[in-house]
Amino acid sequence: MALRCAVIQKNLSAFLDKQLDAGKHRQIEQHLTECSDCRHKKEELKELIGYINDVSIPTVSPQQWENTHRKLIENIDKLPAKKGLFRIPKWTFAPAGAFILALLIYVAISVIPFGGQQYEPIPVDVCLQEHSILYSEQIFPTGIMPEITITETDQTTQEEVSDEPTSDLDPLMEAYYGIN
Amino acid sequence: MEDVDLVKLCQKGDTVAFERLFQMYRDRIYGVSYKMFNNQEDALDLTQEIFLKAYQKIDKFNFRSSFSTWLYRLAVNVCIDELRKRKSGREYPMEDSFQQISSNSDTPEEEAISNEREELLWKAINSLKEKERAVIILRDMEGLSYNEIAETLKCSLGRVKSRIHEARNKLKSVLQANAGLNVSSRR
Repeated sequence: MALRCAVIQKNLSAFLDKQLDAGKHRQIEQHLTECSDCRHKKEELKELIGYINDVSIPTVSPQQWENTHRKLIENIDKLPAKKGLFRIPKWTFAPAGAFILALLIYVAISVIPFGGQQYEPIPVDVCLQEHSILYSEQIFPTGIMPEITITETDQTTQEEVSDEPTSDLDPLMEAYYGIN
Repeated sequence: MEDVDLVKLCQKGDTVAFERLFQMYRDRIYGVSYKMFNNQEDALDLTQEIFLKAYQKIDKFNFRSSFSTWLYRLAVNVCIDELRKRKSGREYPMEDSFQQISSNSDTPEEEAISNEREELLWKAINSLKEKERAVIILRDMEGLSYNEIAETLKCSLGRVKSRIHEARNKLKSVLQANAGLNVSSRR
């Protein structure tokens, strides 16, 4: 077989399927008019394709389709439910990830001291004492705050309260407001 | 309603739209499955399996190709996988149903010849490798273009051309060896 025939026969399928460019198609057409061997190969191939084209398949009855359809629906029902409308779009993953990362960084900065001053817890009584001093300083100028001691005898009930100012507070009022 | 609209509805979880796609494509998918297996029961089982896979994977369909090409690809891949599975397990059963297939032949003699020819053809097709069988079915039975086959099988156009050429030559050789067809060499 000539080399040219080998090349032609290799392209016969594509030629019959009209899948060659116009130039190649014309070349093969021309060769086939001159070469009986290649022409015969082309006829064999054409005959084969015709047989394959003619292959028939058995028809499916409505009952068979019904069974196939039922089986399909049963198998679909067995699948885990699709999320459908509630699916999260993929593009939301990046901003969500960035937000979570930022949140983690914020929490880390807030909780971890990173070498800064560490505060010890202040006992409640000390705290109250300091608050009392600050409060007192706002009302009374420094230095004139007399020491007030409350003894057991100073404790009174509601019935014992009189309209007269208590004697212990008098000097204090006098000193600060000039009230006698 | 167009394929594209139905697919979009399916992707949102609309099973009615999926059933519509099933009604539209079931015959073509059954055709491919039957031609790959030459057995009606297997073909119907595979049709069901292919549509089940389509339902599971429809979210991944990105509209770059047509839905039919995507579905064909899925069908061919499922069939090829099944053929490989069977090949590794046991001998592929050459059965079915040449008697069941209605023939267009006029006389009983012609019908007998036609049946015998078809039987030999199936035997030859079944002797092909899975991918060779797929190209023959897609090209000569389903009428897909070379480009569509390349897209379906995810290979180059050149590969499709050479596979079709090789597959047809093999078929011709098998048929000539069985002397069943009049596809004979003069020498």
